[in-house]
Amino acid sequence: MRRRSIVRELQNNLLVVWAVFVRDITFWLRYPSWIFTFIALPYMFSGLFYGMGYALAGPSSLKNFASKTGTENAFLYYTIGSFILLFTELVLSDVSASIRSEQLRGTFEINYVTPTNKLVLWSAPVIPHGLMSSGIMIASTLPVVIIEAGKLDPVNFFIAVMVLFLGILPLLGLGMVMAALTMRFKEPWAVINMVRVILYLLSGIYYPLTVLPEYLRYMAVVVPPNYMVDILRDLLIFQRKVILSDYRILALFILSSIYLILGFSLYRRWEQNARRTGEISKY
Amino acid sequence: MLGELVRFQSIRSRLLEVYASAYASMKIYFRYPMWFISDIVTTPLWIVIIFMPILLFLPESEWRNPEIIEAMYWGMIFLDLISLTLWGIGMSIRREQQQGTIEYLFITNASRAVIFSNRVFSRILSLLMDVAYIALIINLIFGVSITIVNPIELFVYLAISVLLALGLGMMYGAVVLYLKNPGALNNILQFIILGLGGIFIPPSRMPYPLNIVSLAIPFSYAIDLVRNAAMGTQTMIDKNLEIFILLVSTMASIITGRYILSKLEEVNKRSGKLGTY
Repeated sequence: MRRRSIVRELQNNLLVVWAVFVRDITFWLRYPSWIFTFIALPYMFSGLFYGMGYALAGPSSLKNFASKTGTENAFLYYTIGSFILLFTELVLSDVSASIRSEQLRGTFEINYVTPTNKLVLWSAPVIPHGLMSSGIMIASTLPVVIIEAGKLDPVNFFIAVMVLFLGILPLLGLGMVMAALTMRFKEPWAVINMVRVILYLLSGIYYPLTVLPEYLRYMAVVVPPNYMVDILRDLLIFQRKVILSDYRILALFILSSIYLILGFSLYRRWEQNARRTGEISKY
Repeated sequence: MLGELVRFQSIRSRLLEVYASAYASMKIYFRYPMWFISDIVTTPLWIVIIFMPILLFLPESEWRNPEIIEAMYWGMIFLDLISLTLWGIGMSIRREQQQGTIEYLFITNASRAVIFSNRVFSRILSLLMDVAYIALIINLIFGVSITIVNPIELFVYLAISVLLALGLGMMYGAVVLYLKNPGALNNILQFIILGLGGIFIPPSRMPYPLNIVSLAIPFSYAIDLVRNAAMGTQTMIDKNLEIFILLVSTMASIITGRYILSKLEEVNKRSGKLGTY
């Protein structure tokens, strides 16, 4: 009997995920300009930094760059960084963005009269958005990875994609913390802005963490994109092998469990509080 | 006599619109003090995130070179200025669409440019704070003091640059009215202006043919004059000619912006797409 109810709940949750998937893909295809953004932005960031650096430093620029980063391939270095930045941005703000847009449209409370699991409902947009954007970004950055890195080891590429999927988990946990803040403070972008800028600073997406002061390097230990970008650069620029027992993969697993538990429990708590006090209908 | 009265009434009502728009914008800005705190916290962090990838190309001994840091500082201010109009106007239209209030605004006789520029008022306040605050942070991080050679000229050039950016913002806002979702276009437009508009890289240091493209973008002249007034750098071409180009392009940008905004409003009204998003 109990087993049957668990199966039914799972079925219902999958139906919610599917419904959100269909809805969000419809929205995305309604505004296809986003596809162009995901193709263009990694190149735009890289081109801008590369161009500015070269304009300032002249022919010795790449040697200076290599002395700090270990590679003269600045373009690929920044393309991978930009890729992780966009990916992080998307997963991080997706949950709170879906809540906030429901609040603004006046449809937020209506969801609460349905028997759907709200945690599933609010975190489900990560799946269509993550799949669409990472698919487009992988397809668009793959040519530059192959050209710039000389050759692409398929095993390394496969591990890189797996690392991206693993990276979604801790980021989703952090996304739930943001969602809890949205529930609590209504206009959440200011807080979210602060959190994400701190994350970017400590992620080393555009520079090696060695250029930061020592205390900031210690703080970077709890920042998931830091490990993601480091592994991706090892795999795609330096053509190094990364094994599953690598400490960075282990760190991503540990951070996933910490942030998921923190995110979901914080969200549950503030949601219950908002329901009790009537805050849920305000924005 | 009657004509003058009508003109006076029209100016008065336009000023009232500006007042109402600015009041609403400030009221919303100060309703969420977290925005202010967020600006204070994130600005120094953004400076590190944006400056560091560029500094990596320089030998470490050059990381505190005042000439480079000051040029990047004015680039940051310009970046702020451009994004205030693009995000200010574009997001304002988007928000009204999402809240379902855009149709009500369109049945009033208020100026569309004024209504949709409302967020610009609060963002100008934030820009003014940034000018002082970023200078302070740069001094703390890099030990470089930002000095201004000619403050009055600098103020005038910055004010004209805001107007130039407003014209662009109106054109962009019109496109938002038509395309609905502004985020993608905004990011791309901002990057094109940043990369090719001489904001961080002067056209003289760009390779051919990018330098020619850069000279066709009015922002190149605006930032060049700002650098000239602030840092005393040489202008790309004759200074008077640069001022003339800037003034003409600012007027052209505002006139074109207003025209496109009203044209696309008409198109939307006719096709019934005004209320859809």
